Amino acid sequence: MNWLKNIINRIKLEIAYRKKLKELRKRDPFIYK
Amino acid sequence: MITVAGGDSHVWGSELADSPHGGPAGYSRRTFTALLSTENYVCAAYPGIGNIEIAKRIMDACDIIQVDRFVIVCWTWPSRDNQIDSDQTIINLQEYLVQHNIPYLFTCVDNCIITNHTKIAHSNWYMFPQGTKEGETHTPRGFYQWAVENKYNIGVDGHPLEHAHRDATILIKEKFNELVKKHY
Repeated sequence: MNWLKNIINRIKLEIAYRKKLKELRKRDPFIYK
Repeated sequence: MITVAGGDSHVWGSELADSPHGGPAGYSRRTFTALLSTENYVCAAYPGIGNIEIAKRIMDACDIIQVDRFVIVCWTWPSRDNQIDSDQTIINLQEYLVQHNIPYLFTCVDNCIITNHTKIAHSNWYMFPQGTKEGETHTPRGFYQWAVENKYNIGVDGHPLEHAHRDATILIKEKFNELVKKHY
């Protein structure tokens, strides 16, 4: 079951990364409209 | 000494009265980077670009200009390169400048670029003072944050105007002089 845990962890990390990127984009008023 | 400035629209001088367009030589001489420059000034910035492009344009400019240079970079939001930080880009430029013995000063538009990466030489950075209002964090600010929080006039597209640049020059001057003196 380790492979499944690895996949779940990777998905979690990817979601966290995308969330952070989305937040950062909102801070840039010249690009984020 | 030639001051070579890198950054986005804030360093280009978008919306400043003497920046008529985004074409060749359309950049302003009233930005804080230009006002800091005591002799010759070269603007390698361009509106809307990300940090990877900022670093590349500085390296290209320094490869062409072989005489005494001083580099000032105002880093922009890392999300323009689809990244959550620009550490590697900053380190790459820092290493290039050190290898070529070019003195430099880094600052930024927004403090979201600041991380605790140990390879980044924070002694060569200038950060703007934090706000004084209650509830505001005490983290030092980037140029854009500082100008907005201190209610400087902003153009219709959102860029801080001449007054903010003039006052920013006064704030950065000491650090700029310290780094110039250290090298030349």
